[in-house]
Amino acid sequence: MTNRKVSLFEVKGDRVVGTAGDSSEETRSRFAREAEGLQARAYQVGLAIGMSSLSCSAVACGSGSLAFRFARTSAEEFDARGVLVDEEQFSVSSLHKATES
Amino acid sequence: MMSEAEVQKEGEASSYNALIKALQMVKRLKRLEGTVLIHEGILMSADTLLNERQVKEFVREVNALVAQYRNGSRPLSRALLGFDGGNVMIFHAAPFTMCLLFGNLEDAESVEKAGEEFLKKWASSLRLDSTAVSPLDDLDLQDDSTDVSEVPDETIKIQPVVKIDPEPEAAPAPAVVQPTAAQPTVVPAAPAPVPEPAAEAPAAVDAEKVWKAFREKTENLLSKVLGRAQAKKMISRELQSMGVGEEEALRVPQFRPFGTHLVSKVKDRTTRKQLEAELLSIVDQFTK
Repeated sequence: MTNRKVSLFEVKGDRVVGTAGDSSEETRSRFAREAEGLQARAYQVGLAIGMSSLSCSAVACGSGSLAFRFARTSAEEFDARGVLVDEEQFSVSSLHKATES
Repeated sequence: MMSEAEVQKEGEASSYNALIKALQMVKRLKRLEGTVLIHEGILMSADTLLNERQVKEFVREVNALVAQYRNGSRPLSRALLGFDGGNVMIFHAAPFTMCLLFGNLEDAESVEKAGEEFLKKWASSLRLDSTAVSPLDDLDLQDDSTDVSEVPDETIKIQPVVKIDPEPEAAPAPAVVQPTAAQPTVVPAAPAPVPEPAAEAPAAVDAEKVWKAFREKTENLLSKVLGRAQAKKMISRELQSMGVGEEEALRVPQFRPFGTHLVSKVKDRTTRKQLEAELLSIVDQFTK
């Protein structure tokens, strides 16, 4: 990738697989950790308003940007797909779009 | 005849009302399902179909989300949370957090732009940090000429996750295979963000004294329109709903939104405006 700060991942079962960008163990583990933290918090937000089924999340924060979405059908050969961007903050709608591609 | 200071205070109070009205306008124009505005962790306005309990829980959880990132020294700017029944776009520009609830995930881009424009417009009157309201670029993967060949054939095992039981009243499981690893996980819950943990230092004692003084003055203020016992009860109930115990203290920046929220419950418009102006004078005594 020309922009080494953008990494794409797929979660298959209990494994995180890098599909583009930096897929070092450190980055993959960071993605897994941050996605889990966001997922847990997002789930609680949803519960508060009577929505228990989380489909996707995206955040832009001081350390960069992160987004993930769960597979919608069994035809998608992953359980979840995500993107992690170091340092740069991007609009959350575009981060979500990146998980669709 | 009002003094210059009184006029200024009334102006500040009305700018709050103008902000809330402008947010209602955004809701109508963008056909949002709801808007929630939080100031210093305290609910300022909620224009949704959610009931009061749901709104309070929602505010608590959004505060927890913001706190999770703030505590990790990487303050949250924006979040998009998508659910099967609706979506939430959260904008955090300290001391405000604005949440826009909308139905169709495909509208995320236009909702985000509307939120950006709204915050930009109100940035100076709300004294928001300009960096917090500047528009964010779109991530374009096409520009990044992805080279998948660089990716080593390695995987990392993620920690086992604890599946959360579905709601008891949940519908029967759909025929579609649900991803197992993608189920919600239980992560040790972060404490509610509103009350800052009290330090054991003398500063904490001072903070408690300041809070008690503010609380008493607010109680006096509300006693003008309510019975004293009722005013006391109203404050306790509000604190309880925020998850703040009787022994805990609010921080000075939270005084204004907390007081404004209480005063907003006064039905009569003229009385409410008068109380708002008086409240701002009280808050000034603690902030100067």
